[in-house]
Amino acid sequence: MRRLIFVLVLLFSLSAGLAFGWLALPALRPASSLANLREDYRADYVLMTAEIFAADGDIQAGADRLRELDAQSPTTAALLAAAYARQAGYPETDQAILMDLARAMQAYLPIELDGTP
Amino acid sequence: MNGRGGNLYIVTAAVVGLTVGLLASLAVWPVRPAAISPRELTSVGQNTYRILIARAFRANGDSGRASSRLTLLDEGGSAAALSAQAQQALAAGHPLDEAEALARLASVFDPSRPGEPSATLPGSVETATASSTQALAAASSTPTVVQPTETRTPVPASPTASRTPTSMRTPATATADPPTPSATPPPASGSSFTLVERSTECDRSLERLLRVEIQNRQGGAFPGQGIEISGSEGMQVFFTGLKPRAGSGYADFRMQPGGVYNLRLAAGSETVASLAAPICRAADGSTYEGSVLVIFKEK
Repeated sequence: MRRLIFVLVLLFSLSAGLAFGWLALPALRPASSLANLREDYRADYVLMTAEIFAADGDIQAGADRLRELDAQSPTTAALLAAAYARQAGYPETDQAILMDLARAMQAYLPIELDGTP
Repeated sequence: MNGRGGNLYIVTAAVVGLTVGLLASLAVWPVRPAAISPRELTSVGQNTYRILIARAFRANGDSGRASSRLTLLDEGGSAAALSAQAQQALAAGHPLDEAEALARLASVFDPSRPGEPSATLPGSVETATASSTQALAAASSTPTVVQPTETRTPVPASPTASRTPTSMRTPATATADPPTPSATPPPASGSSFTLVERSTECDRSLERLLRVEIQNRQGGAFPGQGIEISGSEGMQVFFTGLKPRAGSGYADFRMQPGGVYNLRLAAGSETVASLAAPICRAADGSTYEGSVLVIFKEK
């Protein structure tokens, strides 16, 4: 009997913990920050950053802007946007400046890429 | 003791279950937040986005693309939103180039500029622009569309924005809160603008208004130019283009009663000293302080 009660309480509290993490916490912290932008909007955000970087060459400012999208790795944000632009068929000029930004970010804040020595 | 010990296994099961459930929901299978559009951002996020649009516009001069991007934030009133944000940025002590970029972009959407193709927001934007951004603008009104369209076109090479001629000389009656000027500003390092007019005017609707117009070499409006004004109360900077209705090269400042000011352009000009509102007499015999007009032209 004790074992049955233990299992029932465990299952109930486990469900309660999952529900709190999946339902209550996201509701308390609405997903309305730049980090939650849809993929195409994120790519455009990075494109704007790339346009500014192409003009002023300020990689630190570029990294700060990209941290709004990905606080952990601005380089990842740049690389993903460059990949998205290629996939979605952005104009070549846009793809080029996105790649320039991604390369500069990779040199400035390098991350390990698959196949990279 | 037996009773307490007998209930301990329930507490243990509850604590373990809650902890494991919480950890699983946050770390192992975290919920993915819904992907949102710029319009769904918080006001802070929208301001950040708007600044980025303004800076990108300053970098590439592509007003059509900037226009498309602005529609992602709001359908209309972009010039007003840009101007308001520029003024807030100034008041909050943000970097001057931020306010300048916002003001310059606001001037592009100045409805008082006839013939300026980018003065209105899409869909009336006639200039060819990068469709990657326009696709986003279209997608923003149809949230179920995830991918931008494949109709990409090259970005126009020539900037269209900031130095096109416009009608000026339209005094504004509304003014921003008065800056608080102080000592004489330090001398300018170089002089890029020359003073072409300094005059006073008696018009009750312009009472104590210091109006500044800045023209480019062709005589057109010059938006986004910083103007440093100093007096007994301190020094502040304000910008042309924050009142698009009055012209994108226009800025004004409400002087304190009896105030005397020195003024010069942040980009470099001579200092215009001892600016003060003239004493005017109304038809009913009462007196009031009129306005001052200062016009600079790019050398």
